[in-house]
Amino acid sequence: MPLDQQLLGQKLQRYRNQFSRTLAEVSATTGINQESLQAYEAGTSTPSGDEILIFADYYMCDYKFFISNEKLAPFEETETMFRRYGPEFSREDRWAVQEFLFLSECEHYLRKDLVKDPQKRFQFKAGRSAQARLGEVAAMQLRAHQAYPGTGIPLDIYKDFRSIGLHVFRRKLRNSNISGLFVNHPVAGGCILINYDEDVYRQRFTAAHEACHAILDSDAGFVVSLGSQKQRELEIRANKFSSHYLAPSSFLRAIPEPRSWNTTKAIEWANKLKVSTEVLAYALRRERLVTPHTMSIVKSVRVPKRDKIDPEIPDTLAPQSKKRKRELLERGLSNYYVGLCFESYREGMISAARLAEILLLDGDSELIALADLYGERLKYGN
Amino acid sequence: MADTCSVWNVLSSDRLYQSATSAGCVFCCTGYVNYECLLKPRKKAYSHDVELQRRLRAARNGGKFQLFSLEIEDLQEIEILERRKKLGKGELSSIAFAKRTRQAFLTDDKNALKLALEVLPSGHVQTTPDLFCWLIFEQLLGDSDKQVVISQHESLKRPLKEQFEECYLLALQYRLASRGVSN
Repeated sequence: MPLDQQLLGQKLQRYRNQFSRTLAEVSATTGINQESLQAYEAGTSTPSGDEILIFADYYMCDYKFFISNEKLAPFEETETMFRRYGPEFSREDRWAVQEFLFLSECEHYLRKDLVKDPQKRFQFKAGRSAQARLGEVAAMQLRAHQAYPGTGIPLDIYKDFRSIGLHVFRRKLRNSNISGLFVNHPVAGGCILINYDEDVYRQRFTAAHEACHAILDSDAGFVVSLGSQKQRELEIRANKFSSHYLAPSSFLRAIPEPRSWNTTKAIEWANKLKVSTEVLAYALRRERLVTPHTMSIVKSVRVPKRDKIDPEIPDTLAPQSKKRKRELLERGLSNYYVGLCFESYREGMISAARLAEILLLDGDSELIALADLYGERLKYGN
Repeated sequence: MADTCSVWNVLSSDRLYQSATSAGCVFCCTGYVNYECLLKPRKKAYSHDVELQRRLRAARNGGKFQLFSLEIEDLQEIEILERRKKLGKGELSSIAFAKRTRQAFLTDDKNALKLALEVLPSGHVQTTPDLFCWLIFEQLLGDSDKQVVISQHESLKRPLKEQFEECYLLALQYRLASRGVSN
């Protein structure tokens, strides 16, 4: 396939602008001199094959994106997102988003082409539902799809959403105002990022909120959920979805004396649902089980932090392992994803160097340490 | 054409490296492998990695580990494109270059070796333990060198001790068998 030098130059320049990098910064990290970078961006010169690979490594994307006209990266989506929400995305957070999209793409490949992970595709059917009820209807349909009984509580919602083909990653973002975002990746499909900086229960709510965007708003290309955002219709709908998915009517109505609340009871039941007392209060109000006054009592207290257990960092882990896994989660590396990567390696589907790349590790020193943590063994020689 | 891990493994033992170069082995790598070895920023600088980088720079200053540049057309080869999400970019670049120039590809990762054999002829995919085996077989490394090679290699936290031990025994078996043939 002939290379379009101008198009390649535009991609390089637009990527550099998306991530607010100067030519000097790109040059310092890639080892490619500034004059060459300028000529590549202007389309007056063509990079070598090695340099194409270096750009793919630097911008964390498939190298084929640079040398073909295929839409292989959510390039336009991130460009529009960063332009629209400019000041919300620091340089570090833009990079974090790119890492998340890279992980999503890798996960998609491993699931689809290598491991053949069985997934139960979910297709929402709006039927004659009123616009205002779409969030609630979608939540109920998804609960039925997951075969939850009426009073069943989703304990590991990350697993739930992965099981319908979404790519769910949690990662620490510097801007605590961004609770999460959804991107429709041209190759990987629905990708959800949750700010790991948030409280464990809040993260569950955000995950469900972003899943709603993935189910109902995939045509938008991307949606960013900001804490300070004026409530748009899209966001209200996603909140309703979260509320109904995590705290369904039948569960709330099965609570003993569901109209009578004190602070102890609020903490107890919020903890059973694994939601904040605020989410519980709104759900009770939604069901018209409480008055505004009782609602304020329910949300006046907080579930103690020690009671909130992250499904991906179980209490059974040794303190050192917990610490290491928390560090990995902050970088977006969930147990599920790391396990999937090692499984692909064990099956001989990917090399150790590729394994290190898709785990965002520097090289084999880091890979050996991670393999030890997960009780995995690397295979050498012939 | 060495990939990143085999560059480190070859350089990890001075005895092994000197013996191989004296025997006429020529190591080279792609521009991408050079980037991965020497230029790509790392989160943490381990002392053993810093030492290996110093050795690679010294070798390159002495005219060894020559760099070769990959063309975009090499990356557009169907066999390379199909394996781009299975192999590391260093391995991919080395295989693409080795394929075009009919050179041997040196890797120490079992899966990379298997995937490379889908693209390159079997004699063109080798490992550092293979090299060690050959040097022992040819008596370019003596019995006393075995332990030196392994301890030098291990001192830089490299992982091939077991494979070197196995290849040492294999070389002795080959040598014994070849004597049997010649007798």
